[in-house]
Amino acid sequence: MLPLIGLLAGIALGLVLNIPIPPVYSKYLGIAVLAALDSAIGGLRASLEMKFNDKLFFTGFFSNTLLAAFIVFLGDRLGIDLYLAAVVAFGVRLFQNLALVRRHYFQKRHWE
Amino acid sequence: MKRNWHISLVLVYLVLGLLLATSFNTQQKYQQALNAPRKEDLIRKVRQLETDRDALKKQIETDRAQIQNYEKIAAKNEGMLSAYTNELEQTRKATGLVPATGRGVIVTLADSPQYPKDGDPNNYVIHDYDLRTVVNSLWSGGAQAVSVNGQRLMSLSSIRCAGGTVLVNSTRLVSPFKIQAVGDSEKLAKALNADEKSRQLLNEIADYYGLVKKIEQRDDIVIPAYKGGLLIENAKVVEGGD
Repeated sequence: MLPLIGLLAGIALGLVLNIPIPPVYSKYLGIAVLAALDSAIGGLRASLEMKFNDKLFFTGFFSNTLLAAFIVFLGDRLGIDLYLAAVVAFGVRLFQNLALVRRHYFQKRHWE
Repeated sequence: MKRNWHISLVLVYLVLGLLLATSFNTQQKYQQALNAPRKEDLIRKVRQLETDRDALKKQIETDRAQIQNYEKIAAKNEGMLSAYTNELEQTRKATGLVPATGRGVIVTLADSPQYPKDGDPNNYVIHDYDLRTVVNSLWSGGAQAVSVNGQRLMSLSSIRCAGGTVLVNSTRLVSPFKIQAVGDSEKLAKALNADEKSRQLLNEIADYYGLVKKIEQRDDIVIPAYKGGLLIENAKVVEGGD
C-alpha cells in the first residue's frame, strides 16, 4: 500500500514541478524510467519472496540506472543505438519479474 | 527490518513516479513541438508583426505630436515670418529680381538716319555714354526700375561700349534703344531736362545730328526681371555691420 502512495506522490510531484528536459536527453529519461520500473517490480518480487535486501535493492537501482545511462551515452558517441540493449535487458527482466510476482500470488493461493 | 524495505521501496516508487511524470510531460511538449512547428512559427510571426505594428503606431503618434509641435512653433513665428517675407519681397524688388510695373517714362533713342554731313560720323550714332547719361538722369529723378531694351538694370549692371554695339548685362544691344523707367512720370520727365548733359543730348545734340528721340509718359510700363547670374564670390557680408 505504501509503495503505491509513493508512486502517486511521485507522479503528482513530477506533474506539479514539470521539470523541463531538453529533447536531447529524452532518451536518458526513458532509460531512467525503465530502470526505475525494473527496480520497482524487482523489489516487489523480492519482498514477496521474503528475500528483500535493502542494500542490494538500493545499489541495484542506482547501478542499473547509471550503467543504462552510460550505455546510452556510449551509443550516442559511437552512433549506434546501444540504448536498445538497455531497453531490451530491462524489458526482459520486467516481464520476468512480473511473471514471478504473478506466479507467487498463484502459489500462495494454491498453498492456502 | 520490515519497515526498512518499505521505506526504500516507497522511495524507489516515488522516484519512478517522478520520472514517469517528467517523461510524460517532456514527451507531450516534444510532440506538440513536432506537430505544430508551422503553427508556432505563424503565431510567432503574427506576434512579431503585431509588435512591429504597435511600434509603428507609436512612431506615428510621436511623429504627429512632433508635427503639431512644429505647427505651433510655426504659428508663433508666423508674424515674424510674414515680416521676413515682406522684407524679402522688398529686397527682390530693389535688386531687380522681380518684374516691375507702373507708371513712368519711355525714352527711345536711335541712330540718325541722316548721312553724316560733316565731321565725325560717331556723332550721328547713339553711344554707351549717351545711354548712361539718360539712365543716370532717370535715376536722379527717382526711377525705381530701369531697363534698356528689356535688360533690367540692377546693382551689377553696366552700360559699356562693345564695338558697334552696347553691352548691358552681358547682352549686346543695338539701336534703337528703348529706355524704360518706372517712377513718378512727371518727376522723371523733369529730371531728363534738369540734368545738363541729358538736356543737351536730348535737345541740342539730338536735333543737330538728327538723332531719333522720343519721350513718352505712360501708365502701363512693364519692366522685366533681371535674368542673369548672381555670382557674388568676393563680396562678403559684414557681420553685424550696417
